[in-house]
Amino acid sequence: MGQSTASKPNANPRVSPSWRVPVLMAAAWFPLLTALLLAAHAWLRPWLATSFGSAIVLAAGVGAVACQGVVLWRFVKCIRPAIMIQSAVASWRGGEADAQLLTVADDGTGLSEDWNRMMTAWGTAQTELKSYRTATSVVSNQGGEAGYSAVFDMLPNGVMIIDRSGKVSHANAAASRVFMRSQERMKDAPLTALIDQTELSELVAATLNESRARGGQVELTIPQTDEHEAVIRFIIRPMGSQEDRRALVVMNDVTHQRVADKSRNLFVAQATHELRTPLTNIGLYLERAIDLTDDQFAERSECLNVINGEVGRLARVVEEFLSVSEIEAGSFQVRRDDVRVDELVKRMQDEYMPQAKAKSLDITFDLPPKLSVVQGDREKVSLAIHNLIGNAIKYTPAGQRVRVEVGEDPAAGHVEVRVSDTGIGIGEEDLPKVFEKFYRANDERLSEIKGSGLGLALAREVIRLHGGDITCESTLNEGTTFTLTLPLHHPAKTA
Amino acid sequence: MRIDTHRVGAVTVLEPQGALIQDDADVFRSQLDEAMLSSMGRLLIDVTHVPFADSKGLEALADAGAQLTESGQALKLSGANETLRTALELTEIDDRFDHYQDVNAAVRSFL
Repeated sequence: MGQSTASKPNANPRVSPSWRVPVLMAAAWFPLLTALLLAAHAWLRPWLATSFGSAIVLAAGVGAVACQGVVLWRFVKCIRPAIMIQSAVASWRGGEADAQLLTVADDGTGLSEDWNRMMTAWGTAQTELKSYRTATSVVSNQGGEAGYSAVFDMLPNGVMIIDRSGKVSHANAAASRVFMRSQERMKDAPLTALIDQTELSELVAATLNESRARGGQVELTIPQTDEHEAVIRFIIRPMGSQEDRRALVVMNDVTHQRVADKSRNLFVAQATHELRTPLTNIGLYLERAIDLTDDQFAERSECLNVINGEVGRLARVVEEFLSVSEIEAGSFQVRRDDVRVDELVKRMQDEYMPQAKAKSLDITFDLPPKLSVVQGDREKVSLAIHNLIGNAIKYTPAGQRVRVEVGEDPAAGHVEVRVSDTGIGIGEEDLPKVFEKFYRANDERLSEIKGSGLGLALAREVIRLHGGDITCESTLNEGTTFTLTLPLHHPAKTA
Repeated sequence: MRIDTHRVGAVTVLEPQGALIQDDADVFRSQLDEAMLSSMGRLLIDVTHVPFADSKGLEALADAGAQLTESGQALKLSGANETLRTALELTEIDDRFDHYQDVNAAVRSFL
């Protein structure tokens, strides 16, 4: 029984008791009992001839068999764990080394419980020992090829070993991703065939050939696809003795970090500009206001109006930066107010009319006489609409038109703000990216127009948190239309 | 089935639009294989618009997850709804993926 358990570990994970011992004991017990009964029968023969005696014998016989059964049952119960443990030991002797498979059925006796506890402890020790052996074999290079490849392939960073002749002797799966070649195709390939970068080849050659070379690191841009490039940091270290010198090349894909760095730098530059411009204007107009005499009321009033406008602009820029940070951190809160979109736009009309006039733009506001109230965060919705109108004015050349329409579609269940202009437009390739953070279209005409690159991304994020959306249609050199929709009934949520 | 592909930073984001079932799952698998190769493993699957997946769809995801795990990387999923998440859990393949609430959180994990 024990052997069969060992041969089919998955079919029966635990050791079953062997009944051979109790059956043999019963077989031995039967002749002994029969002999005792025969001896008793010969001694008591005269007395047994009576009918009373026969009844007594029958009862004694039944009682003896019952007693034998009970004794046997108790006996088997006592020795059952021992039998199972014996079977487990036999399995272990037969080659079964899995502690889990050597546990026995728990029949409530202390012996089986103790045995199972011991097997569990042994299993844990086995696992720990295996981990330790794997680690030490890799560290001491005792694992051979199998040890190397198992560890190499699980590393998230690309790893290659270059032999003395400059060929790849080992490459892991992550390295094969970097070079877009299978591991089989990389093996024995010269490094120069994988990557045509003199800087890397020279560094590897120096590491292999110069006895005192300590390796180094180099960051290279390699083509990833037809459109994109990847930035890989190669770290080279010497390994092996002088006679058997090899170079270990570790590759870290830092493309995403570099893109993030670039965005961060751009953000800092643009944020600085966005903050500095209104501050400069405030400073200039304050100086002018201070220099004015007490009777120059009109000029002073003009200065204060400019300062007031710039303070508002500064507040909006700071609000944008903070909102983007909050959205990024997932802590952006949207309140639930009654928002009258028509009133918001009407207030903006007063603010933007002078700006449009100063730029000689033909701006019209088409507001309905009555509009449903939507639920949302008044400040945030206002910020989003400000962005759309502000952009239209910013990107529309003098003499062109800007139109702001506010309406309601009861069938669709939303309020709509449409801002269209006849400005420079957006190219087809740039259109899908206009809502990306820090994105600026590659158009020479934009070089003089500054912006944080956050406004549209933030506006759409905010409106989406209200269950609405902002869409954009545009034709280069003809104009752009942004459409903002806000549902009439939607529970505002947190980013 | 429409599968939108775009990049956020240096991360390729695959955005299937619809259930991953039957022939659509095959289309998804072939696009996923291509993306894994060209993205160097900087890959994210935004399943926000995947209402559910059948065995073929789940298999495509599981195979991609296993393939990336073999090279020490992980397949990242964002925006999985309750139905899809339950399907992944019941088939015991949910631990083959890194799960994120949205694309931004998933993209940040590459830093």
